[in-house]
This record gives sequence, structure tokens and C-alpha cells, in this order.
Amino acid sequence: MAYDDGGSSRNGGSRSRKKACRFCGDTDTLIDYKEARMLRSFITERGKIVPRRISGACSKHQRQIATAVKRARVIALLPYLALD
Amino acid sequence: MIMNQYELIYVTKPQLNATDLEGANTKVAGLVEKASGQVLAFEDWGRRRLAYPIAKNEHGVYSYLNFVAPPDAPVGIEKAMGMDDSFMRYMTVQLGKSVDVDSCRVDAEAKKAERDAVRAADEEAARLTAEAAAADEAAAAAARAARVAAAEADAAAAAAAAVARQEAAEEVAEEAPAEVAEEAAEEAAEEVAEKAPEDAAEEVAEKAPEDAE
Repeated sequence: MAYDDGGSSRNGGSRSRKKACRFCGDTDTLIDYKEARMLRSFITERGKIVPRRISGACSKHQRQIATAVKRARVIALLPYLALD
Repeated sequence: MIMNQYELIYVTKPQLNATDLEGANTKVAGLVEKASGQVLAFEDWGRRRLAYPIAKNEHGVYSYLNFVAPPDAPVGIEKAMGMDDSFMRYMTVQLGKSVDVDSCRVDAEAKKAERDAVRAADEEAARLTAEAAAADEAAAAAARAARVAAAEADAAAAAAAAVARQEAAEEVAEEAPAEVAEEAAEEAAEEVAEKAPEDAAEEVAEKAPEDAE
């Protein structure tokens, strides 16, 4: 999970722990639209792109992820939508 | 001349035979060269399952091409590919602008080697998995056969036991009737014998006073 939201009144129910962007932490891992297996972890079961608050990616890398997923969809490496 | 680096992925129909596929690959390479570009690396990704069906095909054959070409080349290449029915999908992505061809070639070859190795490892893993699955299946089949054999043995044993029991029962039955009948007759006789005198005495006793009056 991207954050620990217990809904407690002490912090107003806001996020209390933010996960670091894994692509900032590991500069060896490049976001590549050709690596469908890696991108699978950034789409939901339905095929939607996982939002930043869940994926934990920073703005820069979230943009790269989104572009990569969209490219992978064009050549049928990832689904536009996945039913059932 | 300004040269940009591009990579082109195209998906050909799974129905194509090896010759047609080879022809399609040659055609694309020819298109690149006709647009005064240079092919740096070609990779055959093989037959893969598509994430969604294209023209009722569940699978497609993926090919990857890394090339340098003038900026106006990709448009013409894609246009020509669009007119060929062999290609189900194609996508060109620009990797770099105004690049140095030689350094790009080195880079592309290194990446190709890397991806080839990964793919080979994947195939090896898939093959091992398949083998393991086959071995499991064989083991399961053997186990099933063993179970069937055991069950048959059990059934045979049970049948033998049943036959044996029946025989035993018959033997007993043959011996039994005479003895049982004798015993029963004795018991009955005893009971009758015990009761009879009492009954008779009571009756007599009851009747006697009446008679006397």
C-alpha cells in the first residue's frame, strides 16, 4: 500500500506514511513499454492504470509509467480493458 | 544528413508461414533502407498471446526493429505497412534525435544481446515448467494407475472374502437346522411341561368350591 490510512482522528484521516518512488530509489530499473510483465504491476485487474497514490510513483515516473502502459496497449502487450 | 533513432515493433498474423514471415521482415527492412535509413538490430520475439484479440486472432508474431533514419522516414514506412495485410499492428517510437549512427549501433546491439539472453532464459524457464508439469502429470498418472490397481486388488480381496464368507455361511447353514430345531423343540417342550401342571391345578382349584356348593 502507498500509505497507511487508519482513518484516525489524530491525523485527520490523512496519509501518514508515504512510500518512496521505487524508480527513484532504483535508477537501474528503466520504465520500458516493451516489458509487459513489469508493467502488469501498474495496471489493475481491469486493465486500468494504477493511480499514483497506490503505485507510490513520483510525478515524473508516474508519467513514464502511463506512457509506457499506453504504448504497450497499442501493440497488444497489455489490454485496454480486461473483463472477468 | 540528420538521422534519428527509432524502434519499430510490428505484429504479423499468426497464419503466416515461415516464408511469408521472412518476406514480411525483408519488406520492412527494405522500406527502412529505401528511406535511406540503416537497420541496427532485428529481434524475433516469436509467437505471443495478444492482450486482446485483433481481427479474431488470439496470437500474433512479434518482431522488433531498431533503426536510424531521416525524420521523414517513419511516416512512409508505416503507410506502406498499413497497406499490407500481413501486419496486424505496428508502432514506431523515437529513441533519439540527431544521433550518431555508430554509437547507436553499439548500443542497439548491446540491448539486443541483453534481451535475447532474457528471452532465452524465459524460454528455458517455460520449457522447464512444461517439463515439470509433464513429469507431474506422469507421476499423477502413475499414482492413479497404482490407486486403480490397489482398488482392483481390494475389490478382488473383498470378492474373495465374500465368497469365503458365503461358503462358511452355507456350511454353517447346512449344519444348523437340525441342531436349532432340536434345541427349539426341547425349550418349547420344557415350557409347556412347566406351565401345564400349574394351569391345570389352578383351574381345578377354582372350580372345586363351586362344585362343592
